Amino acid sequence: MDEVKSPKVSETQTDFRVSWQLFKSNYKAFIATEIFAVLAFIIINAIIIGIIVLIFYLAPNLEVADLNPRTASDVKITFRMYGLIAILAYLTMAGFLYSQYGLAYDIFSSGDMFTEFKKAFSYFKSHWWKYILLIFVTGFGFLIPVRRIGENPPRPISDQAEILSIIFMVFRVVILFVFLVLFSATLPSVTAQGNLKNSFVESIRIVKKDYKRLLKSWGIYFIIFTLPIFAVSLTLTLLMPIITGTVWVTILIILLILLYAIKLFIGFPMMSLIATRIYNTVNFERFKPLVEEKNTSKRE
Amino acid sequence: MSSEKDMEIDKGTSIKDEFLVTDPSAVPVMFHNKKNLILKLLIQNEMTIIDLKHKTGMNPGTIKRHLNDLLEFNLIYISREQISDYGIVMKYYIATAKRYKFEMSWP
Repeated sequence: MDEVKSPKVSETQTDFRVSWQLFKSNYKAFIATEIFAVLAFIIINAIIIGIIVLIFYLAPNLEVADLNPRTASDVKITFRMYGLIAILAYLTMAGFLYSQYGLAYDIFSSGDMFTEFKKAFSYFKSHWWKYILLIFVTGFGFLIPVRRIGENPPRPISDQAEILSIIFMVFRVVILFVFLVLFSATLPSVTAQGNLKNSFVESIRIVKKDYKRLLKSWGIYFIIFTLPIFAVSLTLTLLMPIITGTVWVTILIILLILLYAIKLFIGFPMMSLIATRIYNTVNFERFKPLVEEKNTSKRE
Repeated sequence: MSSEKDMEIDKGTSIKDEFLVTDPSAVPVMFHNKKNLILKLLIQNEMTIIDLKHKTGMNPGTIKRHLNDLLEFNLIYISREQISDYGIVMKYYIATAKRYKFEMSWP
């Protein structure tokens, strides 16, 4: 008699199923973290723009088009300062978003199997500079594989520069995926053991140990959350000369915003949970964990 | 360096028959409604925070705070930590004893 065997569930399937279940039961903490980060970013930018407007209001002689070399230089400095502060605000926002790895750590590794929004602040406080530095290697900096939308007038696609910009877009997506596979474990690692250098060592150890699972899990993640953004963006780029002035531009832009929202509110928490699960379940040589449990067992 | 197996800590699940409470500040902790409910459940069985959430309907964060208070006075302890098949570390709590006896004088 033939034995009925249940289909073998791969680790990749489990990565997604478990992460999705845990995201559903802890979505408030994750969504609150994202909303806080985005709002903080918007508020900081609004404050900076407010200050610039105030400067121009208080000094009406200061004009962008002013030919006076002194005032023109003031304007340039003002806008450069805005740019610098906006970049800092962006990095802070992204760093704060990465404190979601702390939330994922709480769920997977603390033993309590749940997390709270306020914990994002304590993880950000402990690891903020490491999270910000890791933005550059784990892909947040490459997140936007989009060329500037709405260039007016649109250049023809046969233009050599246009082709180069499309090649560059594809290149960025490929690099983003490679970096994701290679360094996705740095964030759960730095949260668990605290050392930035060791997090790279651990990440590479995981790649060596189970690269097939990494390729599969991050490949599927990429197909679900990143490639649609890239596809719509590329469509927009290629079709811009044809569809300029039609409703299709608006439709594609709305679709792009929707895909970004999905990536932000579902994709990022899923990424942190999947990465933390992979980090926890791959059997490799680990460095000593940083966080020691405060409430140790006390028995008489 | 530590391996994954190091995380599987079994601190034993034995429960004493009696525990002598001598610290007066433990009294309000024990007789707080919610903490008392949690303690009663942990006398019956070892449980995780999620188990307690299902049994009491309380928020996990609230349960965690109550557990910390109970741990502070040694009224409960962490009996074991186990990694589930899904790679999740699960911490089990249990009461220190089946019965608590008070012995204190004031002032």
